[in-house]
Amino acid sequence: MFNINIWATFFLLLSFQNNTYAAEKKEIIKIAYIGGLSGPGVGKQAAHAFTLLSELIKITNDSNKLKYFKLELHPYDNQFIHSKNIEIATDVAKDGMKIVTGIHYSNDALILAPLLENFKIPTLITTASHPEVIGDKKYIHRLCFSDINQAKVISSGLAKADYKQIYFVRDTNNSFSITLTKLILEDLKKITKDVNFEIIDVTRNEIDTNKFKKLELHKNSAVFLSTNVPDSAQIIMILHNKRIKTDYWGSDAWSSLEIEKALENYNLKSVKAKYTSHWVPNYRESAWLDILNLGLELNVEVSPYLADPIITYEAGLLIIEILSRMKSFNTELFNNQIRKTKLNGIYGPIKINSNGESERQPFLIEIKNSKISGLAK
Amino acid sequence: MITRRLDLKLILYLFISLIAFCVACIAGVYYLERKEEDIFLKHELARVHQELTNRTHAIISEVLLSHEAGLVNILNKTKYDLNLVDINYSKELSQRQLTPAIKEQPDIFTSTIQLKIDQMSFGYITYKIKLSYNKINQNTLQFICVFLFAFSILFLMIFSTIINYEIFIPIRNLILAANPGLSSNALLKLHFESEELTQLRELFIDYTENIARNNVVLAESAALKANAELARKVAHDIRSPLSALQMIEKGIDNLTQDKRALIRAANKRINDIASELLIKYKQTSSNTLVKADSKINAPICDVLFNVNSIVQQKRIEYSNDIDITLNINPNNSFGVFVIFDQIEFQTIFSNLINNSLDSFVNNQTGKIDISIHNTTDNVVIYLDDNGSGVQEHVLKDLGDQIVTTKNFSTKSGNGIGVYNAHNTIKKYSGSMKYISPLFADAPHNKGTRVEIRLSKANSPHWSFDKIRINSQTQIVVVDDDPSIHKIWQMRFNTYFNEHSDNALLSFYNLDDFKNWYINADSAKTALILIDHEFESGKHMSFDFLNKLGCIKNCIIVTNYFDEILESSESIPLDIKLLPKSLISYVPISYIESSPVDLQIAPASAIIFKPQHSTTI
Repeated sequence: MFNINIWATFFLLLSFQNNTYAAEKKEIIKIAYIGGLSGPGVGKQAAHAFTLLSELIKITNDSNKLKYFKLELHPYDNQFIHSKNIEIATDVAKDGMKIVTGIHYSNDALILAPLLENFKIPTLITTASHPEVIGDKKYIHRLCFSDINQAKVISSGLAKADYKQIYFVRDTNNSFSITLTKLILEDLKKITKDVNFEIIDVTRNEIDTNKFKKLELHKNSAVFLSTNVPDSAQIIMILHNKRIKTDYWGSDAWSSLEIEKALENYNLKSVKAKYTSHWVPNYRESAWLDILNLGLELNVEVSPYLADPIITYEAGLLIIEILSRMKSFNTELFNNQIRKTKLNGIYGPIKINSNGESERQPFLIEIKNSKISGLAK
Repeated sequence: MITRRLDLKLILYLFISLIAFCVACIAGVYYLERKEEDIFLKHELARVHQELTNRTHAIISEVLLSHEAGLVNILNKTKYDLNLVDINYSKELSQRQLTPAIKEQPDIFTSTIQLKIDQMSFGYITYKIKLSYNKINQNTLQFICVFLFAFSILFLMIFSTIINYEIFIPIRNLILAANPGLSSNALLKLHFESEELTQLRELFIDYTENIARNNVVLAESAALKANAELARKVAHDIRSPLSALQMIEKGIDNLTQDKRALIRAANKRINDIASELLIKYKQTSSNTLVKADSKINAPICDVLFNVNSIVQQKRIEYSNDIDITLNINPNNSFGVFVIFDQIEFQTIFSNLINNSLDSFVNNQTGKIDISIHNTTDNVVIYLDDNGSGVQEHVLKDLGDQIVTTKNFSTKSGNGIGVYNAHNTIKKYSGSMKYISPLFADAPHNKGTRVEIRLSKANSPHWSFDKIRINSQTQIVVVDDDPSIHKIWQMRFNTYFNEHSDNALLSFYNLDDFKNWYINADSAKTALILIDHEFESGKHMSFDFLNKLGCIKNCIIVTNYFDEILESSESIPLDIKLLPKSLISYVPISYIESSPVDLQIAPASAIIFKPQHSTTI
């Protein structure tokens, strides 16, 4: 039922059938979507993201918004296997893809970015926030903020809370987790005093319960969980069962998934947690309604708090906007336009600077009793 | 044991060969094993390389993620999965270069592969792997060696037995059969190669040479037998006509004395040859013909007389075909005697001249040059011709075997003449040598020189070396043949003209001479050259001269030279003899103002040495 490849093929066939005549005249632009569409770690976010993007492309092709181009969306499923991205990068180049988007996780982006840069394919990364993803690359861009900014927001929040003891739970197999923890600690050490920091390394999907049962936690302590949503929920459950009340902090990894549902599954509705998000409260409420008003027959649930589908959708908007100004596709021209185009997205203005980084900032939000509320910028 | 009888050297060779065979087998096993090992290692290394290549994406991913723990984990997993000794990642290629697998230690191979995608390099991984080929273990190899060695010994024993019965024993039996005097025990002590075969080879060589020699003797005997038969028949058949000739010869008076002498000499020579033939070839009771080498009782032979005699015969016989030159120095050659039978000498010399005649090719002017050289101990006779010469391969065997020299002649010969001449001369301690080519101006006209070297003999008492005269000497010639007077006149004319006014006094019969000698004052100092036979058939006897008292002053100049020597009448010691054929060669010596001494030279003198002021 959840075979995204079938869906993608279906939508592509639809787009071809409806634009048979136009396709003969318009230049075909192949757009690659790279994400974990299947495999053991599959989540709904990549599927939602690809669905939204494919609907947007279909509407665009149908509406004849692009006079000179016809868009084709090609899904590349990395199956949540890091090394698979190498093969995908090679295949993307071999298949003649003009533009690449998707790429939600830093572990995927760190592998794909240098390879796609090597193949000179303009790439719009969505929610991979690791600083080294962009680096000094010409063809690689992202629409989300960098972890450098995210670390500042988190460290600032932690400092204001005036904790005496902070535990950092780090996933040793996750570069994002390691790097973000490192950045937060560096910032905290600059702005706080008399705070004890302790790092607890865990392995993804292999949480050692005993490690957390021994922790000494109290009201003036906090646990920062840079781990993924399932592991974070499990750790919260372990500590909650010890009847220890402490504050839980998380990163945008939580916003990319559904932390609130995970907590519900563990019956942890009363747990209060803070985490960073791509969602900009009070920015433009109607923006989300724009998606709903697309008239799409969405077979997936899309929430405005789920960053991966929304930002992928925004990437589609940016691609269409740039192509609408072009009469023929030129890789260099298109790539340059990415850094010059300003566009209003769902989560706020889209503006990519000359380094390929988005000017967007993370927002700290709070979840309590399964309700999400924005805190501050 | 059986092998004890075999030659140790042969056994050693066999043993070494078998050991070499064993070594070759083991080396072959090692080689094949090594080759198999190489194939195995290549295959295994290729497999490991492919496995690593399949994992490069995972490793590159960890590298790109800067995830050291992940990199370590994946390298450890790779190490475990591929059973590697070690594996390391390096961003840059340090000391090692990208090379195929290197064997650093026994069974340990090290290799480096590059992590590469498109043109992007993501570092290098270096791994060590232990690849050991399951070789044949040492026990198996030792078993093979022992088996091959045992097999070698067994083979050696079987082979030795076969060789002994099939080869060695038959060879020894053959040696025993060939050499009955050799005991079996002595034979066993012989080394196979160095003594047994050597002895066998020598025996075979001896047998072969004996057979060849016997064949030669048989061939020679057959030739001699045929010759003897022919000689006997010729000698027998020639007797009758010879008797008739001798009877007729006595009645011939209308011929000149020279011609009668020649006929007489010819008859005598024919008779001599017939007698010689009968004496020389006698058949023994064992039916084997041998030469009747009569004991040499110091026969002597006047070289110049006999050579001149044969030359004259040949000149008459071949006057139109050849030019025979007798090139001698009378002072050196006259009165020289050699130890040789006169008949054999004439036969040999006649045959040699005949050989020269046979060597002349058609239409060729044959020339034969004969010279006599008197040395201290020997007399050397050279017989040179301008004939076709003797071929080199014939030359080396000439005289030693019965070979013919007449290769280029239209005539044919069996070569037995030269063979007999050689043997006969050798019998008299002489030597004969053929030299060819003598001339090099034409390929078929090479020429031949026959060198005959004979031992010199003491001169007989009747011989002398020269006639010595002075101005007082009265020369008296007593002969019924006017030509003889003329010849003497020519010989002495030089001296008469230069040194004396005396003319040569000639007498044609004995009575006139007798009257002169009794009445003349100068008779006592005269040199009397007197014939032995006169036309009236009257013989001058030694007694006649003795009664006249002139025997010391006389030289008997006669055509019956041989008959006088062979007659039963003893030759007086004071008498000198001169064959008429040598009148032209007798040296004459003129001595100024010296009285004539007609004392006869001693018989033992080899060369006549006159006493002080002695002349003839």
